[in-house]
Amino acid sequence: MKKTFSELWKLLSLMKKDYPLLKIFCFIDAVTTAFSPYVQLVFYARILRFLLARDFPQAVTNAAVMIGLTLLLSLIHRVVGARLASWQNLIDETSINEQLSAKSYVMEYDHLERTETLDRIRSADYLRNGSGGVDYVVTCMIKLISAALSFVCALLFLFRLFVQSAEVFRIADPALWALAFGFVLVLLTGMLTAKKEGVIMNDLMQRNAHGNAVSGYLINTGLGVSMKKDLLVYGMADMLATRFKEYVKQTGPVYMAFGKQSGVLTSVRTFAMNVYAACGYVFVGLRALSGAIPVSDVLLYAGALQRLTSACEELVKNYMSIKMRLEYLMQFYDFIHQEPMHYTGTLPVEKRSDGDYELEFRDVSFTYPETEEEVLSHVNLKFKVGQKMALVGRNGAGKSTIVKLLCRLYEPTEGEILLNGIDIRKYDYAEYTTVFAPVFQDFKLFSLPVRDNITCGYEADEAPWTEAAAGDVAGKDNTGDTQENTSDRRIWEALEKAGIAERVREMKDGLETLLYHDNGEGIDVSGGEAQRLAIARAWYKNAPFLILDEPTAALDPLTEAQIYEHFNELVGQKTAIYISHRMSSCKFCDEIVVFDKGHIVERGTHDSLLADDGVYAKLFNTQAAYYQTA
Amino acid sequence: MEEKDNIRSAYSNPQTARLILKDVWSYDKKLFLMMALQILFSVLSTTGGTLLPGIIIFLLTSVQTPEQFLWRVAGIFLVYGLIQAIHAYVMQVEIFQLIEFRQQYGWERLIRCSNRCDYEVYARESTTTLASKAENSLDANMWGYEGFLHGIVPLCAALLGLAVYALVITTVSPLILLLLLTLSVLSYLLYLIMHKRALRYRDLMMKERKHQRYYEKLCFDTTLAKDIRLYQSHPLLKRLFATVTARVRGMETKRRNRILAYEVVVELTSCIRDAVCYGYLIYLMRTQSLPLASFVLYLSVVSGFSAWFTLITETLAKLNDDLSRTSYLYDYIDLLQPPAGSATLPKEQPDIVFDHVSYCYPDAEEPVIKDFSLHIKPGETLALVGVNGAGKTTLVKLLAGLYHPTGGTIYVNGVDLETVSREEWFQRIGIVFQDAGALSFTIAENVSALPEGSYDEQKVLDALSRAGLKEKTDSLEKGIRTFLGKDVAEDGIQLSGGERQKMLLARAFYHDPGLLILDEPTAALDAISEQELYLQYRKFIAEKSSIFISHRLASTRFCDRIILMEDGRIAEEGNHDSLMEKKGAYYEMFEAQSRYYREGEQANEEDLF
Repeated sequence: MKKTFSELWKLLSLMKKDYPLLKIFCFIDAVTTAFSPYVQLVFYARILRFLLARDFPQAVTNAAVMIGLTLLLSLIHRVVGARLASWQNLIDETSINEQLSAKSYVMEYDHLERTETLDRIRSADYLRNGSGGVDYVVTCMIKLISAALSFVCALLFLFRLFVQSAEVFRIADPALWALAFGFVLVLLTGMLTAKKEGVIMNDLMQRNAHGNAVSGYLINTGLGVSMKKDLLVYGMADMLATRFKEYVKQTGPVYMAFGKQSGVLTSVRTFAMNVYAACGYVFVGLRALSGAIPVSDVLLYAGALQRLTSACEELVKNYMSIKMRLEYLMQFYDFIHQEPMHYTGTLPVEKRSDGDYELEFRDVSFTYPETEEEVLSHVNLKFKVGQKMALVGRNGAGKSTIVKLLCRLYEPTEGEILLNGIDIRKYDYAEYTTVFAPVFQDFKLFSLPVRDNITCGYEADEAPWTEAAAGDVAGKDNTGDTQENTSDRRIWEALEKAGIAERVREMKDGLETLLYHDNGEGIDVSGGEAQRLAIARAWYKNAPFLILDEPTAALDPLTEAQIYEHFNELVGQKTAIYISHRMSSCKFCDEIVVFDKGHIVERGTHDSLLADDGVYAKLFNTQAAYYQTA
Repeated sequence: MEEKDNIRSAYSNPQTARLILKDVWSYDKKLFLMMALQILFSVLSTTGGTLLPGIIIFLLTSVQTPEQFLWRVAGIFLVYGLIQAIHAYVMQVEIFQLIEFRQQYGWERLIRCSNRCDYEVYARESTTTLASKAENSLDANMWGYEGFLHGIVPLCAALLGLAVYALVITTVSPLILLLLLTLSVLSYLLYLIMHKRALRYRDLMMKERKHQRYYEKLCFDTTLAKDIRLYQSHPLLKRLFATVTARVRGMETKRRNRILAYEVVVELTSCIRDAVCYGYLIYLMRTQSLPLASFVLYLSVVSGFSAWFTLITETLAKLNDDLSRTSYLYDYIDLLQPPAGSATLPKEQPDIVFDHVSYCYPDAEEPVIKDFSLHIKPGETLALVGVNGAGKTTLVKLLAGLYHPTGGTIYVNGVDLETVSREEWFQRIGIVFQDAGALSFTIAENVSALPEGSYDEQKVLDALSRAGLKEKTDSLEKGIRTFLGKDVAEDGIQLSGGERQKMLLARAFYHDPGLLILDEPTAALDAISEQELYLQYRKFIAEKSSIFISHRLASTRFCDRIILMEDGRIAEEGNHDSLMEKKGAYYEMFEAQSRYYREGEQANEEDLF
């Protein structure tokens, strides 16, 4: 129990920043909820008493006080409740999700990418959508507090009842025994049915968990646009529908059976409650008939008796409910409070205007987490300043892995990577990234305006590792127009270099045109256009190392040739690492490194490698053969 | 943007209600009986609760002996307990009885309808918007399609209960009833105003929700995560997310304040109601010596009356909301009509003629395909080349019957393709789309497009071996019954890009089409895998008609005829040699690509073909 409450406290602490008054408001809400029925019970009893005594002025006064107090309590309850409701409505979407995403951006890539991490968050998210999130826990917490208060009140009234009727209180009183019997009956049936309900609920969840995931997939695939062409042309859609029908036939009866089972349990519990209520009325009623208490107090005490059990039930129910939800919601807390594992370097990167950086792979081996196959094996490689290097090899030879290691998305399993002679792990990560401008093979653009996609929020030549520089909109205004113009000029220059400036100029809002439809009504760009925008983004960053992984795969021959021709211009004096299946592109490079199954098998220039007649020669000739004029 | 989000449904709320009830009628008529039972017991149970305090007071003030009291209370609670128990049971069943209905008449029907829909309609952006609205009505138990049915029970119960209570109140004083009705109607009207305003904010928030979802999704996109890290884009993203959040918070506060205003008025009216009723009843006790039990009973009935009315107010609003959500579902189903055309084709190799075909995307000003004429003879191998955006992929979609020409006609063996049944035409063609994906089913199911047990295993194996994937499937523990992806089976595997291309090719082989269309099939492959695939294609297309789209011009050399498209038209046409001789656009493109391969190269072409 202690664990549950400390976890609940931790979870609430996540909302401290966004909703500082949350805890206090919860308490006020619980107090008003708990007390207002007692106010009514007490005053109602008084009114009835005066009416019985035919003291009408007193009855009227009491009625007025009751109505006034009730109004006051309900107004407080409404006002506080309204604020709480609007907070609760947004807690999950804003507070929690914002913190999750903030964390996800800075946590280790290999950790984020691990299926385990994503599965945990995804399943927590799934459960949150299905069974209630943090907002629901807050609701349960309010109910829990309110039930506790209500329980105490009920006890106080019952104490008063026993005091009032002390003179007729006898241990052999059959009515007392009846009451005790009713109480035990309710407790027992409550416990038994709740336990049984838990069992069948669990059973239901287990039986349906997989089915729900599958049905989600079938619905998304069957109704999505992306697979539709294939589904139609190959008539595969019926397969989906059949699968879905099987799912419905399987789960429908399961739900129905659950409904009936839990219906029986609920009705048994309800009946027991009524037996108990009857006992309560009999007990209190007999007291009244014997004259120990006034008839007018019967409803008050019977009400308190009923609240005693219902508060008990609420206490247990809400406690269990919180405990059950914390099991998955704490995943969010753990995720947000995860210690960084290896982005711990602190060294700044020496800023050099001559771009004189040297990178070295020293005996690097790498195996992807949770796999056994070694993707890279004892690689020794040096990237010299200003050099253009091509990495070549068949699919799966390990070229893209080199890029990922270089970008510190993964850590080598063995060996080390050095920047200017120092292990890259020792550098501050944000600083380290300023050295590279990559165009990944599977790069993506944001569904944001073109401008943001190119600048990523940074002014031209601004140091991109200070958050303040990127985040401070006000600061931007202060610097005036000049900087704005420098940035714009650089953006357009980048777009020119990548050969996409003309297309952007034609867009409806120029640089401010939103891309894609995920984040509003934007425009679609083709794969080739996206690739050119990604190249522009890399150029804009002005980093000493340019990494191009398959940058022209989606381009038509003319655009491709255009990029090749301007390749030197694009790269300038920078160091460039180039990966491509189009062997022709390697000819630009000073050095070609050939990978095969994780090993470096050949290296040299285009001519020397062709002369060697090895792997490179085979790859090149295979493609070149198509282009020989017969 | 505004207009797009506010598509009006063709169905009014009453019409939608009738359609939903019709669905239930054809699903299971017993459900109506169940609902009637639920209504009856709701009223009985609530009425019992209202009567109880009055009855107790009545007993206390009228019984002679304690025993009498005891047995009467026991009897009353036996009856009331049973009513409550049955009510609890039927309400619990009520929650679950409609899930299967929603799945079957909602999702399953949608999937089925979308299976025979017209792709051109389906792919339109306005359809996607409508689809998400329609799907939204099926997302949850308690709102939309199923939610409407859950709302009917309390509404009917409340109407019935209200009538009963009104009768009771009239016996005391019709004036009180009049007052209650006036107060209730007033707060109902206020509710309508409040609800409308609150809904407007909710709709605004729904729109913002799209942005929120985008930023939420972004953070677990592992592909994008690389770009975000290397370009340190997270401060920008955080700032943008925070801006949306702040906007949403503002709207939510305003929305909730509207509701609060209503709630405050409700509290005030119930305060007035109580004051008047207490005063009047106390007055009656004093002047007409109304018994105490009646006093208690009437007070309960009065507050019960207000409770019923509030229930009606809120349920009506909810039902209206459910219905307007659901109306889009029926719009969507209406839209998903199968394309016309039922003619059959002769069982010979397709002979295809494009006769002055043009195609213009809806809302676009300029057509993508312009006055396009072409004759593809049976057994011919055709290459389509051209720069990005020249219209190649659109042409393929037209030929596949997925799009309908906006001008001109496509003839297959002399028959207008528009009049041919889609199913029939789809069986004749095999397409590997540029952006094709695999289903998370077994390899065999993907290849055969048939569920387990219906496909020809030998044929699947043949197709796989012809596509060069058999070695891979043989190495798998479950062979061709291995699942792809983890969506459906935990032990599903992931195919590499090249393997997936081969599997899709195997799918085309399995269906043995008369016409094979391949759109950019090798973009992601290394030189040697690419060559392997070319060889497979060549073997297959020897005796078939085929169309081949590729940016790698060299790969189109084996085709009988090459069509160079430019701006929706045929710019050049001929075989490789004749086009090279012509020194036109094709020559230029080929040169651009081959330049880097050629200087000082010794050819070893015989390796290839």
